Amino acid sequence: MNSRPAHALIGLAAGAMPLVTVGAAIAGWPISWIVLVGLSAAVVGTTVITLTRGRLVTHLQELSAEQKALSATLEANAEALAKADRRYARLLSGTDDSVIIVDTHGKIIEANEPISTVLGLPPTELPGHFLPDLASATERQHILSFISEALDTGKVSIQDLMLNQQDGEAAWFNGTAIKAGEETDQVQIVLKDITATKRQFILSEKEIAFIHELSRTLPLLQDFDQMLERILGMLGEALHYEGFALVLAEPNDTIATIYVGDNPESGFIENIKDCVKEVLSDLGDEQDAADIEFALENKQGIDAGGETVGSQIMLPLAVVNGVAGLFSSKEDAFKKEDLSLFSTMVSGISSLYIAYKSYQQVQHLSITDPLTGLYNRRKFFEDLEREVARIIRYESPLALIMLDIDHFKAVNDRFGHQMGDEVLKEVAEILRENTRKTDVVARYGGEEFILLLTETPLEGATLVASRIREAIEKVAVLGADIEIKFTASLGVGVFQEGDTTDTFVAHADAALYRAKDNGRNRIELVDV
Amino acid sequence: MSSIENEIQNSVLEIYEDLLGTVWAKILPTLGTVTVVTIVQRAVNRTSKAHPILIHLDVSDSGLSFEKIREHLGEADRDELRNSFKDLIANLFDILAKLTGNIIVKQLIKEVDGLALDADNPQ
Repeated sequence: MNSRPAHALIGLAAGAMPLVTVGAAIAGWPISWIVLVGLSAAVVGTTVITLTRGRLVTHLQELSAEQKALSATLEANAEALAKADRRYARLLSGTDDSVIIVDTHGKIIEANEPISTVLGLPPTELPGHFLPDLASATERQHILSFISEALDTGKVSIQDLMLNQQDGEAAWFNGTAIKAGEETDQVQIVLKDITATKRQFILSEKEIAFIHELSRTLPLLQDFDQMLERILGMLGEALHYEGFALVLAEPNDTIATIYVGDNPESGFIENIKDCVKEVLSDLGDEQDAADIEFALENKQGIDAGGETVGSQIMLPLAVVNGVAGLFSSKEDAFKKEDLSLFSTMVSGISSLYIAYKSYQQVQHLSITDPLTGLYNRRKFFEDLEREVARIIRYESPLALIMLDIDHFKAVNDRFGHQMGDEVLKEVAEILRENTRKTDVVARYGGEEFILLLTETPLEGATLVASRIREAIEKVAVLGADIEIKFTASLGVGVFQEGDTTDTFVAHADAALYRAKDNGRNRIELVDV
Repeated sequence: MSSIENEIQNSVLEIYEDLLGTVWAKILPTLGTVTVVTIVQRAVNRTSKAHPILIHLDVSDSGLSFEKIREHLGEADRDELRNSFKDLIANLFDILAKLTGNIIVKQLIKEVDGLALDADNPQ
């Protein structure tokens, strides 16, 4: 027997004896009885204690065996759990996709490295944040519904989500959510970053506003300057800058303007010019950058401009040659968002310019005779109506010359239509050379031409007609081995009291036929 | 052209196709399709003056197409091909730097740096 438990048992027995002895003494027993009963109690106590001790030892041995078995099971379970954790951690860290575990309220329990990188928050800081709080107010309910759907249905929920990055920029994800386990209210979400793709299709509010405004400038299509004025207004509202330069370097149509506030430093403007010329040259635009003359315009709402250009963003125009740029005297004045917005605006400016040029071309075609480049009959009568109304009001003189090429059918028949066309073009050139910009010169049809001479009395018109007749008589059209000479007959009229546009033309036409009847290559005047 | 030479040239093309595709994708969200097409087209035009093989490089709204250049691989040896694309990348970055300052180029250089190193050693 182990000595320490034995002492304990004797102690217990010895302890029991005084208790019994004290009890007997209180009851008034004789001393001999008391001693006898005390000894008996000690013997019984010792026997009971010895028997209990045996059972305790057995029980302790059983408990020890159970504990060992339990420890072995716990150890095995802990190992399995650690293994699963390691596998899960490997899965979380080994994927390029963002993975987060959230609870039913969207509180982040766990997050991997990629989501931290995208959102700009350290991985250790993400747990504890609520996923909906990382999104804009309008997106929060959408995120909560996305989580609830996965929890309530137990099925995979797939949605596109938008979260805010630390720098305030939006990031888009294709999210796949699934309940994290059978008996849990946690959801595992895999987020695939689709920001780059989304941004191609999503315009900022400012960009949308700009495009809306741009569409409103379309009725101003006949006036590019007016359209530009509106665009500058939009630019001023959306971006902060001190200088704006626009160069359209199309062949035969160069527009180069720098827009600045009042009293900018001259060095600032010279800097802008140098920047624009350098970029134009680098872009290889056809127009020789060195020859560009800039116009300078001061616009309200633009800051004056400091000493030199500290930062700039410039973009080439699309389809047409040219460049547009924003300038500031401050360093790093423009951000990525400014560049995006400016890019949309520059694309808009390019589109407007193309639309403006197309409009001009259509306008030109609708009023021009394609062979000679002179006005057509429709345009002539439009102008005639306007001029007649004007001279009636102001009582100023207005003359008309009708011209017909003599024997033109013979020219066509003998030398071919190509040579006939050359004759028509030559006459058109002579008419252009012998009239003023304010006069209206048109091809009336076939080989007939008509000229409206503003502020011109009959004498003046007669002189012009004479010059034209002589010039035509002198000229020759050269073909292969041939030289074609030709003449023209002319009728001259003036607007007289009681005339209408129809009678005005009819009288000049009658004079022309008289010239034909009287031998051709001559001038006849209306009767005044 | 030997099949080995053809293979090498195709490898060079693949690397630069990947590199230019990456650059395209990175600048597209900021600049938008119209501006990106315009800038890349200008860079191609500028570089093709010294490297005519690049006139076969098509630039459209959907990106750069290398199909035609693959059909004309015989017009340049591998060194010329590699130099053409190196110059194109340099010109593109140069134009982007002059146009947008540091806004785009710094980020681009960082992101394509690894790819560019690969492009130097296609084998």
